Amino acid sequence: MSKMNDILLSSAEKQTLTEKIENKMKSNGYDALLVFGSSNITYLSCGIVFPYLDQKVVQPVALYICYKTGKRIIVCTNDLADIPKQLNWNGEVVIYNLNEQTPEASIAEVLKNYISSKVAIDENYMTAAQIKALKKSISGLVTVSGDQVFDDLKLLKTDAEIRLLEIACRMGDRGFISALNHSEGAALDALSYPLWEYAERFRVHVGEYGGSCVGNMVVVQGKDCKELYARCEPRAVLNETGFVRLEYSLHNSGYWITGSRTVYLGQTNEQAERAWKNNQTLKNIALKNLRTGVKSSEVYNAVKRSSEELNIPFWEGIDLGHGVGTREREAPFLAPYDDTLITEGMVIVLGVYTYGNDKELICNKDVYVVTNDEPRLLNWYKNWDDLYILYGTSARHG
Amino acid sequence: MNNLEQEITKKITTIIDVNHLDVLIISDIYNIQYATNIKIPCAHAQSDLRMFALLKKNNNPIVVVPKCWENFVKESNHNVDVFAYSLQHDQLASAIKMVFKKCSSAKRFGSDDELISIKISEMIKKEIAALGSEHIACADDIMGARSTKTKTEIKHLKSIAMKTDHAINGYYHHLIADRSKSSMSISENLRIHSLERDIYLEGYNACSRGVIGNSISNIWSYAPKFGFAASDFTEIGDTIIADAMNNENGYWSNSTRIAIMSEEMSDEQEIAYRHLVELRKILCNSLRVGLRCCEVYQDVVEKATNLGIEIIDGHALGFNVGVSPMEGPFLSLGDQTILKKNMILILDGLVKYKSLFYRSRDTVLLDIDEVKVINDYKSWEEPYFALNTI
Repeated sequence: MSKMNDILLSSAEKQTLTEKIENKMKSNGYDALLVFGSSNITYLSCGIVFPYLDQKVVQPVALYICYKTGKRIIVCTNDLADIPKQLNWNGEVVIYNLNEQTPEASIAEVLKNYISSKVAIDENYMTAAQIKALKKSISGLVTVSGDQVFDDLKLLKTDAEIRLLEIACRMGDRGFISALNHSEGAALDALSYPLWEYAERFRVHVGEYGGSCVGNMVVVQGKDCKELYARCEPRAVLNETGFVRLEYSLHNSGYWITGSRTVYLGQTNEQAERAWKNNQTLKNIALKNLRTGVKSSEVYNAVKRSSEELNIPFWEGIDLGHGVGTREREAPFLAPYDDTLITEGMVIVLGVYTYGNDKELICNKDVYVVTNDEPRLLNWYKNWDDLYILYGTSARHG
Repeated sequence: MNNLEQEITKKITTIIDVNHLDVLIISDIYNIQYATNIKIPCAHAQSDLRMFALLKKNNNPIVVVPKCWENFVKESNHNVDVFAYSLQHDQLASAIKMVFKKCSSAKRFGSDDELISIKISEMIKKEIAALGSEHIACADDIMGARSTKTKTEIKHLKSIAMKTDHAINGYYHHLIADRSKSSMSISENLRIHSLERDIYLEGYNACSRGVIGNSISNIWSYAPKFGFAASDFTEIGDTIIADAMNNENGYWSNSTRIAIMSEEMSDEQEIAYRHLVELRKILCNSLRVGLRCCEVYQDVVEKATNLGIEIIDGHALGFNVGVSPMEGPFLSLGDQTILKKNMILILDGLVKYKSLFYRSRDTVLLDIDEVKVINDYKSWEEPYFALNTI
């Protein structure tokens, strides 16, 4: 099998990640953890992914691990109970029924049979209602926040995690190229091509190339391109010469990346090419500063200084990038508020929003793993240094 | 304000009045959408970026957002006052600071913070305490308001429920029994047929899915590719279970329907499907305004058991739908909520027969003396049958 098709963590890779987590937890004096956040469940279980937990389409799931006793338990409702098995979970699965007034109370009533000592919880995710229910069910429950330790663990990826993220990048690029390939025959054609189909082609192809799920999906053209997001009207078609941008996120076996790709619809012109070049200039300055030992905020500040020196304005409404992993936005954040030191093993998505001639927001995001040398590009599937031109007519050949 | 905004504002005003609130702080993403009609589809996944809404009687809602969402929110609703926090300082601290700057004179603060993370809930409570003001828990009030639908909400929910059933049928009509389909292709086509009917483009949980053949032995097959499914191919006679969750006007459908890759069912499929139809009938007959959810659950379980229908132990037989695809109350053993007029429920028909799980989800509107199915593009007394060949 091609290494790019090996989309799950192997047993050995899981073992490495498990040991890393266990060592860190123990060194911080934590004997047990209890988490409810989807990102924490996937990370701390080393690869168990439940559907749409963040969107609350299914009932809450809890992961409990006790390092003293070796107990590893996933607590979930009956409909989800087969998932850990499908994903080779080597711990127990305990089912809870909705026997109490709320799902939070129902899961707490089951957890009380397992939790006996102090436990590190994810206060950044667990709801106030959930902790209230747990405290009601488990007398003497002692909790401490494990968030800092979980976040610190996630900052630096193992080789296997980098591998999964690299595969996700390839899925994203192949999905995006496929969306282009499908639409460029019909873009600006009298028969037209719906905007939603452009985005949907991306999603469909990410799936076909092995992706697990597409998350964020926003497509903007014309005046809408001046904003980060805009609603995609159901009847809108690709019909405005100029920049078209797709914002997306997707995951491969629980490992998320985000992306933003801008193309030009119709025959390009000098202003558009210059705008693109300017974007690349600032992005490359950001990349040049993405070095170990540099503060995350300094990457942002370096771009800001260059922006002023070179007279290339950029949109300062959003960070220039962030970590990715079992969540689509993780630390570090390339923004003024984050002084986290860039360190080898971080995986960071990087992109600068600059302006087109009509103030459109142009961005081209790529994902890099930080090394002690130059960052290594994980979105290597296609080079996007040149502005991609989307045009043509179609013979409707399918 | 449009009709929906007027209707919801009235409900929010009632919550403010009943609790004698000076301000209601809303932090849950779905509640924010409900109260302000502002929806950021990626907000659940990008939770380092926080949005809050502040509601005061006879005032425009105030919405606090990160800078990157400011313009989108302004465009989403011109009747809200939008304030954005910059990238200069810690994002959550900046947001909370801005929220309390906008309501520092309030003495009684309502809040739905039970529904959000412990960390943010504690920050909100700490700020309220620092002002010497009173914290009133309002999560139940808001969820209660959400559970009974207004006239416009019913219109939106009926529309999207029927469109989704139409979309599923729209795809099913392409099925030819002797032409194999992959589960992935089914998943993709369910989504495309939905989008062709003017539903809104959504990512995340709007992935549809088709589970086929013996893979229906798992309720959530093909982990972790739930939305896309895997390269599992149909054979003649297979069962297809299609899920589709769609959004229109901010309101969700949540539907599941069955097709058979044949013009007739096998004996096993006949029995399993009959169980689903019987379960639907029992559910519709048992649902009554004024009953508690748990009473309906117990009644249905008893009747289904008597008929030899194997339902899933502890699994809720239904739930509410609205600005989120699944919300309380739940038709479960523990839920004491009293059913009310104008609730819209998803009846989660799920039966097990010979190690396979069969599911069909109906959407129903509760009236005083009627339970009306609102996603019946066709009668589901029988599943969809594919032509054997053409």
